[in-house]
Amino acid sequence: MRMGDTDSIQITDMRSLMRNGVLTAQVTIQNDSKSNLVAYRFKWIGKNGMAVTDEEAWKPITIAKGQSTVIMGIAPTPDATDFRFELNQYK
Amino acid sequence: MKMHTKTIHLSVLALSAVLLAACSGPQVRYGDAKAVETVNANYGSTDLQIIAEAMTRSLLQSKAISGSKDAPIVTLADVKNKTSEYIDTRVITDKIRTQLMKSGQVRFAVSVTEMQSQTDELKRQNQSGLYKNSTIAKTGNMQGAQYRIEGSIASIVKNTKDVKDVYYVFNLNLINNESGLLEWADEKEIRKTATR
Repeated sequence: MRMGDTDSIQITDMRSLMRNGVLTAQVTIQNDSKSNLVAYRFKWIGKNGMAVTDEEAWKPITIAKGQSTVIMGIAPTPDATDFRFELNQYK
Repeated sequence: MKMHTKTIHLSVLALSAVLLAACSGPQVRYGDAKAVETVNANYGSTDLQIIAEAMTRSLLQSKAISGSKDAPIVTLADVKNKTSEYIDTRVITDKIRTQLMKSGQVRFAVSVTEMQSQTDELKRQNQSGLYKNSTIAKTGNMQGAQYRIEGSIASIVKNTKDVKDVYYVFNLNLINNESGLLEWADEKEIRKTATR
């Protein structure tokens, strides 16, 4: 899910697995056009599509042009079964 | 008549000018508590949130917590501030404690700083003679913590005429109280750069 001016960031891979009873998600993003300051966060979904926790804080990350970086997230509780990845720009 | 209308017009103009000035003055707005904060390169709310979240998630994956059958009992010890800034490290550990409690995977015992209110309450119930004996929380039944969490935050600040670069490293350890062994340790690095 994208907000703001993040069209230059491509999400090239998204995967997840259960590790130690807790959902671990991994997203690979690639910056194609210009050096960009973006912020990301994960939204963790449990059974019935309900969010299992409050909104996370936005985490800033700097990606240079052409750089591909792997972002990992760990769910806060064992109830999470799915996740959404949110991208936003920050000033 | 003409003078009167002129003064009335002038006063209306003056009044509206004052009102307009008042409307365009300082405003108050609620912001997003989770948004990225980039006011300056000092320690800020985003750093606090990043650190607490990273440490909590990592701790939940450790063998001591995830591999234990019952939720282990942990207490918070001191997090030393080794930076040159004023950082309330208690807020960081309280945030970590809240997130861990919400996960349901860890139980917490009162920490050293909270012991005074704990003993005051026990004293009040046991010694004042005001409470029904069957409903008193008796002294001598407190549960000891199996582990404690302690750590430190340090920073490296570099300044030139145009650039201020601040690097934080936050270290957190989970120590077994009985054996003295380190069961888990993790660190979080943050870099902030401010250009003039």
